[in-house]
Amino acid sequence: MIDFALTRHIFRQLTRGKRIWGLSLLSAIAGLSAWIAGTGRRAADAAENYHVIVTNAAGATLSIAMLVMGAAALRDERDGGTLSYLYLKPIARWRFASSAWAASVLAAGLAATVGWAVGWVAMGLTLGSWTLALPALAAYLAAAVGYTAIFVPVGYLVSRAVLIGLAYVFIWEAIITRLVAGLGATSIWRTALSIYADLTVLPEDALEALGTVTPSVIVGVVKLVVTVLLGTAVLTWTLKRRDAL
Amino acid sequence: MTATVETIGLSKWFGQKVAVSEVSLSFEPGVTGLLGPNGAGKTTLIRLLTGLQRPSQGTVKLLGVDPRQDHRVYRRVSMVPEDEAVYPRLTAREFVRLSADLARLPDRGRQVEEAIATVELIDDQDRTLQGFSKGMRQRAKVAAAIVGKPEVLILDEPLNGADPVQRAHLIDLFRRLGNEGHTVIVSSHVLFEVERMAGRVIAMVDGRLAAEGTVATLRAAMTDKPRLVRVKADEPRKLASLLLAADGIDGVRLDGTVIEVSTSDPTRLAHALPLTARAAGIRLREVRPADESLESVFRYLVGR
Repeated sequence: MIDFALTRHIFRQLTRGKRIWGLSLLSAIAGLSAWIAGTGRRAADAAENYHVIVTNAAGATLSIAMLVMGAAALRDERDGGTLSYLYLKPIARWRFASSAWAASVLAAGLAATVGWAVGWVAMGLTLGSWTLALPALAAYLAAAVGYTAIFVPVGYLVSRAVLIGLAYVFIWEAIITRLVAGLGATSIWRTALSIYADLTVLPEDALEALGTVTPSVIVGVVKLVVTVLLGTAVLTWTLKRRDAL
Repeated sequence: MTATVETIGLSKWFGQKVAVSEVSLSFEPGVTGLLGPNGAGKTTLIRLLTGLQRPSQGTVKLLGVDPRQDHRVYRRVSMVPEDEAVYPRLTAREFVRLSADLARLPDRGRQVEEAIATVELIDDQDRTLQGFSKGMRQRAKVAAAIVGKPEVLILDEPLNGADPVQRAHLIDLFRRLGNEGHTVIVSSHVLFEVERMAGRVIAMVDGRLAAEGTVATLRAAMTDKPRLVRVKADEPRKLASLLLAADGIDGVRLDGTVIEVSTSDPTRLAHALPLTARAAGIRLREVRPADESLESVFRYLVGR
């Protein structure tokens, strides 16, 4: 399915340097905020608070971290003038595309897991519950899978992919899909939340972030698989049809 | 000999700008120099040959296949891009190893060793590329390209930044690869060096093929162009004025102490020059044809 040498190379490029730490910190904001906001509260309130903050705040911070990681996978190579070292190799274009996505989701998943782990440790230490934050990990990783599937091809195609990504997160996902009920199902973050909501009992305030999307692990996973297949197909087509430089 | 790289009616345009226009060429084993001034379309042609860019019109065959349709051809083809870009945090060895890994070469460790030794980077192979000079980076790029000994090697300005010793070494390497039966295509604006390494030269001007052949055949093909001879003599000003009146001379120009004589009949000039100098009692110090060099051929081609 993937070319391991190419995946390893792109993963290393994405995780070397300060970016991985910055994005991990961004991913940790929701967990840290929940910890700070829950300090001194009753255990039940602090737990509810954690779910509400994760479903709302992580929607912004985590998505930004994931889109930056996704967009960088091939954009860095293109802008840096190094893409030809990878492109002119005997690797089928669909494998090239799936390897770029795999590297990106591994790097994004790493940042997401570090971010989630901060909240998990904080909740475990302050509330004594080490299971409260576990379902949120599924949402974090689902977001990593979905956002990278979209932003690896966008990053390859467009030089200002991060700006487009920010517009996607703050205009499309945060406003349009909230205003137009039928579009909620197209939101990556709500898809991630639908998995989260199916794995645990979320309070009403947290469920509001889900909108009209029904909690379901199966539907969420299927949507993510379709998103990944579409993203890889678009990138494969682009690699074949468009100029690499 | 069979063509290893072939283009037919190849064109590439970006909006209104035509970068390469109707270029039909074929390359065979050996070294071919690709020459042209900046903006002539050399880099675009190389990108089209390698499949990095898609032709707007025409076809490219690399070892018999369209590289954009059959990626397997990249097992046998390699390129050194013009960009200085490398992965700054990789060591030279890691960079060459990456190339070998992605090409899935057999016996990678040995092949990487060989490639690094060939460009004389053994002592620096474990240093990161960010600490390398421009010339050393070029050598690392060449090592990454030659690992696995590709049948076709395409190099875009590979001598940029290299010091004279490194240049001489790389030129020897390219000639050796050409002699061993590899197809080596080298673009450069350093005419003297291309002349030293390339048996065949292709000149491009404004995206078009201006001429192709050996330096000698290119020169011979330009029978309608005046030939240039540089003369050094004891009294250049006096000799220059006398030559203006001599037979078979189209023009005379004094450049410091050097007289540049243009003629469309070199044989008559060969008779007239010593006779004129002798009659005036002027001693000739040097008579040298200026237009046998690639530079002068190129100057004619670009109309300067």
